[in-house]
Amino acid sequence: MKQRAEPLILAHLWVAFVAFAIASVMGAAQMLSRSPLTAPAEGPEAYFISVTAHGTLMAYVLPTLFVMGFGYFVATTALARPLPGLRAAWLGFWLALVGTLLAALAVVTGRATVLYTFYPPLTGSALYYLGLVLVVVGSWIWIVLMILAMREWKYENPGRPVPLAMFATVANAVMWLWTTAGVAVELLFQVIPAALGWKDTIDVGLSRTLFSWTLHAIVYFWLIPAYIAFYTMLPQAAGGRLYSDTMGRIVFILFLLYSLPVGMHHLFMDPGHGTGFKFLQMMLTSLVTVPTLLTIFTIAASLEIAGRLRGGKGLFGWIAALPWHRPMVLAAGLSFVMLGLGGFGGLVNMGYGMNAMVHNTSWVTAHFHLIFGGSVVIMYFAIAYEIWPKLTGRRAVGTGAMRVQLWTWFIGVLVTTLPWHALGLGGQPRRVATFDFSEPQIAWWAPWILVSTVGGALMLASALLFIWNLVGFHRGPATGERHMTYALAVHPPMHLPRALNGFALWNWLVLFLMVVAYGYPIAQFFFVDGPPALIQRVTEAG
Amino acid sequence: MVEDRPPVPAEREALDRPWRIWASVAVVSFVLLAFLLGFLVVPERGKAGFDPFTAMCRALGIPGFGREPPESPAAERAAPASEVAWTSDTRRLLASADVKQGAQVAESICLPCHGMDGVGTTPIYPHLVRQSAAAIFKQMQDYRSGKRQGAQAAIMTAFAQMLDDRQIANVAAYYASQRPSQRVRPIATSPAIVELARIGDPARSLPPCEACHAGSGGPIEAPVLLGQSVSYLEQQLQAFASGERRNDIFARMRTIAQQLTPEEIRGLSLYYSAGSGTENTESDATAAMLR
Repeated sequence: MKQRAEPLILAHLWVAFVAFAIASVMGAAQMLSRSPLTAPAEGPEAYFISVTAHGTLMAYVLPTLFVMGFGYFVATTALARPLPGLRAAWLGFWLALVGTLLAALAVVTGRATVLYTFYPPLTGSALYYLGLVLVVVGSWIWIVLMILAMREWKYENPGRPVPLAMFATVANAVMWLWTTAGVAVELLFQVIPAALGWKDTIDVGLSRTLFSWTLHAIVYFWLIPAYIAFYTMLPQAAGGRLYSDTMGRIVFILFLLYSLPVGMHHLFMDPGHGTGFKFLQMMLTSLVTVPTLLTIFTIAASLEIAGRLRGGKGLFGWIAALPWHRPMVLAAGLSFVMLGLGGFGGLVNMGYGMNAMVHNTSWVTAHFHLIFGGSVVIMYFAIAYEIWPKLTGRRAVGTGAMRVQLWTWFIGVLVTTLPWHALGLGGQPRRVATFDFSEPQIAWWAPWILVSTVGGALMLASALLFIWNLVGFHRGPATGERHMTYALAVHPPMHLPRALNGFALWNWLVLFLMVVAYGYPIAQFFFVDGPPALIQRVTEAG
Repeated sequence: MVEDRPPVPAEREALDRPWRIWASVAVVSFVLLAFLLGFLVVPERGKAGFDPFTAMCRALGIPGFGREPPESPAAERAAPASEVAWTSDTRRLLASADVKQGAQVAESICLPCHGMDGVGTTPIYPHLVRQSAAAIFKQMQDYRSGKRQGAQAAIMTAFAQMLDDRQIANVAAYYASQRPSQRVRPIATSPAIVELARIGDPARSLPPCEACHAGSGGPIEAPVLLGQSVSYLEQQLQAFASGERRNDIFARMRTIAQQLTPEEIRGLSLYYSAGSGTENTESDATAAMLR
């Protein structure tokens, strides 16, 4: 790897993980606030400041900065060439950092207690939204650099397949560009003018629809680094090969296609849309299960190859033979368990009818903490453990602390989210600061919430141990070994159709799907008259 | 950038074409299937009797399509409970209100009954202190238009008709700016009353009073109950119950008050009248009596 990109990558990843550590403390405090125990700062004001900050840091800062940093790492290592536009990349980083600080300032001063979802007519300080726009603009620079890096490599290597890790990274970059279009339009044309006081009313249906455009695809943007690790790092760490490179490409293409025209499943309960489009997007949502099922098959097959190469015998003997002491292998195994559980929960959310049962309950919060906080973030840890030695040229003293960290995270996530799912089915609402447990109808929630709170404390301990482990790398013995190798496929591709080596065809199909799925639902707001909603500003109410 | 690319050889093109065709066919057919199900099969099954075109329009969400027009006599009979609408014009009027001019109106008209500090001089005159400008504005508008009837409404209608929209907004802003001289706490005479106020009674479809009247979170015009005079609260709940007062939008308060027993009306009025001191000497006496 070229030396120059390392400070850039480390800067991104450190900002991401420091944000993660701060937000973890807040998360544990929120669990306490909702529990029958006494929290340090109880009450709705403190709670909504805390939840907004937690959501903003965990959903916008951690994944965006992580994906950017990891993308720069892949672009320099998998393509083995310097990053085009290193200065532009630093500009993107500073924009994102300044944006984060501006948004954080607005939140901690209580001027943006609006949660991290942009659902008007409640609006916070314009500073909050402008800060987040800067984060997005920073990530747009990253998108351009990723596409440029791949394009230049293809030009230098005509006819050769783009390495899978880079192909997947660019798939994510292209998807992110499509994804951010919805929220960018909502923020720039609706929410920010409202927050600045230029308008008195807002079309809530339109803004919710634009937000849904972004809201689901964004979770796949967070998820794809985990899948990149499954396909390009895990088989190598397990001592085997990737079962199918083609399957990997198809999976990332399917994510690009079906992450976007599905966001309306967040609006099943909204009156602003007809049943037809909700049904259409529900059908499209069901297709998102396909890449995950393909991945489970391909990765299980890859691990089986590794297990048998290591001497595993019989139907399941290869599983025991896998090197579970390696953080990447252990994290992937734990991630699959959480992905399985969370995936079934996701099928419930996706069902037009079943969704009504869990809408606005703790079930939803539990679901995304299990899927994102669990199966995705544990892979962020594993990726960090894998690439930190390459970034610092130093190795850790041992992997014991890493295994303890991964196990505590896994147990913490399950102990937190499983009771939380049950509470959601029992009717516990989300986005509520405190409960009156003396009320007999909800008294039975208390013990479950206590269990969940213990899980939250475990997660916090694990998060802090993770930071400690990263610091450990910087103090470990120098090896000078910075070469990164990615997993080889059993049959490495020699020639690929353009469809599996670029995104032109898929962008046209995304355009088609978005026009079909969102064309009329957005257009209707311009010709069907509805009463506008009056804007409520948090800054005034305070 | 396109012209930089080397020309595509024929065998590459042969490799690419099936991907282009089959990927597009797969995506388009799935979408067509979903359209067929979502716009024709499922809606027609659910709502028997619609022709395919109507079913499709309804699935699109075109408002009112295929719906029977409402019975005209009922529509003519239904007059709105209030003429106040919280449009951006109304909100701008309230936001631009002048507290000083409001004070002049208060001094020349309201002072004898409501005081300059918003504390009613007689138990049946409500305290205006602690109320939002929107709450006072709504009631004044309803008095002026005659939408608010019952109890002392006739007196207030006469005064309200002397004022224009801006003056009403000003005087509402003036009283909203008054700070109460003391903190008050509810008087809990019985657990049942506390429950009614805080939890409601689901068996009778009664929402908790707190849902709207706690000072935030309810409709913008909902008055704050805590610290109000006990006789005024009781009188108004009775007026809602009898239907004499009917300026509540969607008949919300009439529906609730009709379900309350006279004891509950008394208990809730007392619960919210609260505290001790000059504002509440009367409720203290009543509370002592009930205990």
